[in-house]
Amino acid sequence: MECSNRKLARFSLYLAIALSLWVFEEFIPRPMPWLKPGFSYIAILLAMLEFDIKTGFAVGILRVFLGALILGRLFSPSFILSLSGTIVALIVMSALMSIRGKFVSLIGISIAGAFSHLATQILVAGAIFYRIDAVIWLMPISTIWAIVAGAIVGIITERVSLLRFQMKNSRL
Amino acid sequence: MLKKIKIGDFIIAICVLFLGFLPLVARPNSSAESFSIYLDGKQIADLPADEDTTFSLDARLGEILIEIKDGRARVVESSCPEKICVRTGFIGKVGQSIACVPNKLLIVAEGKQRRKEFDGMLK
Repeated sequence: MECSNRKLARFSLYLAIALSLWVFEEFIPRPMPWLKPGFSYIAILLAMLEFDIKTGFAVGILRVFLGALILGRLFSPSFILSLSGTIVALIVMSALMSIRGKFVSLIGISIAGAFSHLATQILVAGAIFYRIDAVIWLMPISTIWAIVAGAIVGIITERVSLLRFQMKNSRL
Repeated sequence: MLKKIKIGDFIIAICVLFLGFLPLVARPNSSAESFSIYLDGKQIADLPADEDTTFSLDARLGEILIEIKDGRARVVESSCPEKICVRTGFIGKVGQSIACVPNKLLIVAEGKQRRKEFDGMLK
């Protein structure tokens, strides 16, 4: 891991973007409070692509802590749900990153990540905070949402990574 | 842009659909396994849900007829004035209960599903 000032600066920018997107998501209208588009994952995936999986994990987990700090939800139930969802989503996405190439693109990775995040949140909520046989009814809507939102985030990330690739070639 | 979608993405999407709708068919079971009957605050019986029985109890105001059938329980007849317990009908899921306040009767459906402290939560 290259420890340079340049890397620290770029990492901070990715984290700042992920945070701003997450806070923004809290205030836009949503069909249900937990059905977020997941735009933070654009920054997380880009960080994974530019640096390595470890850095992607760092951006994701720090985003959960700092985001909860910003909105005043540190260690609240929603923070626990967010953290567990993000960790599982990061694990799933980093596992799929290794087979990314001819058959799997960022879109599939993003869909899997979105679904893992929402499904983990539902399961943790059922196991710790409420009853699993009640909360399980949220799964169908969340699945449809995860596929759509994951596809959108994946398409955006693909597009941005294309731009970055062009920029990288022109020595920036 | 859309030519960036690859065959693996569709496979992932199908897997996600399958996993997401799986809980609809493989749901955790919330049917009651036994009924606890409390009279005057003390538990007097704990009956399994799979044996069909009908019996009567002597309560404060008179007789109460209770029936267990097809894994569910109800009060058939009661000596209370309002008959709210009779009108409650069958209970069959964990956590449900029938109460007859004048007779100090309480029937609770118990089971494996742990009952949580909150009924709900608002953020």
